[in-house]
Amino acid sequence: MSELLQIEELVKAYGKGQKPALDHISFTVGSGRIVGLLGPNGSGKTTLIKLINGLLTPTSGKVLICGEQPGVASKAIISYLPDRLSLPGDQTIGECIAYYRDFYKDFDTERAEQMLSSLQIDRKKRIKALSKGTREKVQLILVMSRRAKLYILDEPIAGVDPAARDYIIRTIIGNYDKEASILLSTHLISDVENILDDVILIQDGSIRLSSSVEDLREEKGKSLDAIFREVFAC
Amino acid sequence: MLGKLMKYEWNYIYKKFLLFAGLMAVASCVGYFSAAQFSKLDPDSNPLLFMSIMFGLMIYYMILSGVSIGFTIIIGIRFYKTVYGDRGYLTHTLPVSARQIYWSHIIVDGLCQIVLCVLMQLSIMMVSTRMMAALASDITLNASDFYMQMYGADNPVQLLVVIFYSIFGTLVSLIMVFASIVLGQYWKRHKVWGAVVSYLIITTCMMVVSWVTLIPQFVYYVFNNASPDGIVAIPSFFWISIMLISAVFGVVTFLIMDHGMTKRLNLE
Amino acid sequence: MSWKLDSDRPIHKQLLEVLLTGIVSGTYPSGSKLPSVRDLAMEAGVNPNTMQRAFTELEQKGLVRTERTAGRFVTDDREKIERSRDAIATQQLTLFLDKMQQLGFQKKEIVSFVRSKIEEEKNE
Repeated sequence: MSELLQIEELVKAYGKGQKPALDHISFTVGSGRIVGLLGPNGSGKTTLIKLINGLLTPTSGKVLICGEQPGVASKAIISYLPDRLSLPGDQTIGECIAYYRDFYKDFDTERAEQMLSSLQIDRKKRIKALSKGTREKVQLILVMSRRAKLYILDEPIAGVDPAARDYIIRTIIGNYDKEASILLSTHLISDVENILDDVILIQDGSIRLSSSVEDLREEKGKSLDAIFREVFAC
Repeated sequence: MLGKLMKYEWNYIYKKFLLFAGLMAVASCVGYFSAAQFSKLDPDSNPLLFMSIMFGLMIYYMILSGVSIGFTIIIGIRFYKTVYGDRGYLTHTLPVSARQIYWSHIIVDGLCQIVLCVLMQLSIMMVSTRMMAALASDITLNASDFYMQMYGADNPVQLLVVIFYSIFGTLVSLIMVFASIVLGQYWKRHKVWGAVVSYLIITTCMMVVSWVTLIPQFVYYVFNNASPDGIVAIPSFFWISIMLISAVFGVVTFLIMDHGMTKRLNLE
Repeated sequence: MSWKLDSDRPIHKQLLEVLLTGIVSGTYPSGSKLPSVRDLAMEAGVNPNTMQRAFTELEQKGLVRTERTAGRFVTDDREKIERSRDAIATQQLTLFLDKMQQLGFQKKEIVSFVRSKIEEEKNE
């Protein structure tokens, strides 16, 4: 019985003489967990996320999703929110929904429509006509409307106003499924720390800390935000 | 999944295709009309008419070349944006393989490119025959004779070979554009310039190889076969050589594109 | 329910406190059905696993029981709830008395002080 996500001695180096972006990273994520992937800029978070999604090829080591290497099968069960706008600008929101429904068997159209209407977003608008915050919400809605096994959210709340942040966090909680897990990468720790089960702190391509968040609170008597500041003090 | 990718590719490209086909239709009208005036051509008596006819033909030629180059550029930009731009994050996380991605582009965009190519040939044929008819009204030239004269084909089979080559050549050229874009990704910075440079290198190599293999053959042939008035038809082995060279380059660049997209994907 | 949570301490302990308060105060009456883990987690803005942990502890204390298909219910045992209320109140009282003694109050003084403050509040 393989774990949902298994990373084994993963290395990603870009040049022969250069320091690797990821240096022998290993960890496991089971199902039904919300895991925070935290670290300063350039720590290797995004590289790790791209490797899990098959957007980069590893230098050595393994990325296994339900026991399989990244490929067509893993992409069908991973729902990925990138840290950039990847939706086609000339399409309307409705067309994007149709596109997702066409390619992903696990896409829940009703859910997407319902989330759009509760955020009062007009599905007839073109992506390029939307404000940055609205575009991010739309991308998130599309990603969260899939009944995937692994959600990978790269900075889901960074570009959004505080009210929408609450909505997004509640949506993430409401979407919770014992069979699925969420890997969340963000630098807005205090906003999300209450919803995380586990946390992985990364710096310079290595894991500094990997633990359940409650255990950390118990041990250190501090919030995750405070611990982060300590670990990554400049 | 390939069908779905092709469907969305078509939804995008057909509008551009119609635009370019429309441009070609307009240019053909201008060219046809100018060609028809050829009978009244006389630089001395009516210089204005002469200039407007030449101008019309020049516009015709420019638009036709422009359509050909322009459509290729549009296909190239589309490929780049879909595969490597921000949009690439969406494309490569769909439950599809990298091969399905590039095949959808080759098939759909290639088909449009081929149709445009055929339309262009028809247009040239139409305008040229009209021009000839205007110049010497006693000569009637039918389409296949015209083609055979123009391409040096002795019989309809050779003509078909020539037509087949144009289609094949279009696809090879398309694959070379895609492979150049894939190669451009290996540049650390300025990936777009990397693609352009790669394309120039590939096409230059192909030209050099073509000259090196074809010119000696041609010279040998001319020495042994020239008719007294110096007119020489292009021999069929010529076309076979060109096709072989295209095929080799096509296969090599296809493999480069395949390798780059399946084994060495590195999305920025 | 007011879910004011402090990130410096384990959340599941705080959730337990809030739920206990809810039960002993009657907000979640004896024998009534509790909202689902997910709904409460959304309300509190916490991870459902953490809320589940708090529920499991409540079950261990015998204040909540799970009926497989029907959901979770507050215990019918009113005495048990009373005893829990007493236990929590006693804890608070002990803290209060300690603090008052630190301030220098004698035991008799504490009782009359409390009485007069309550009278004041009634008259406002």
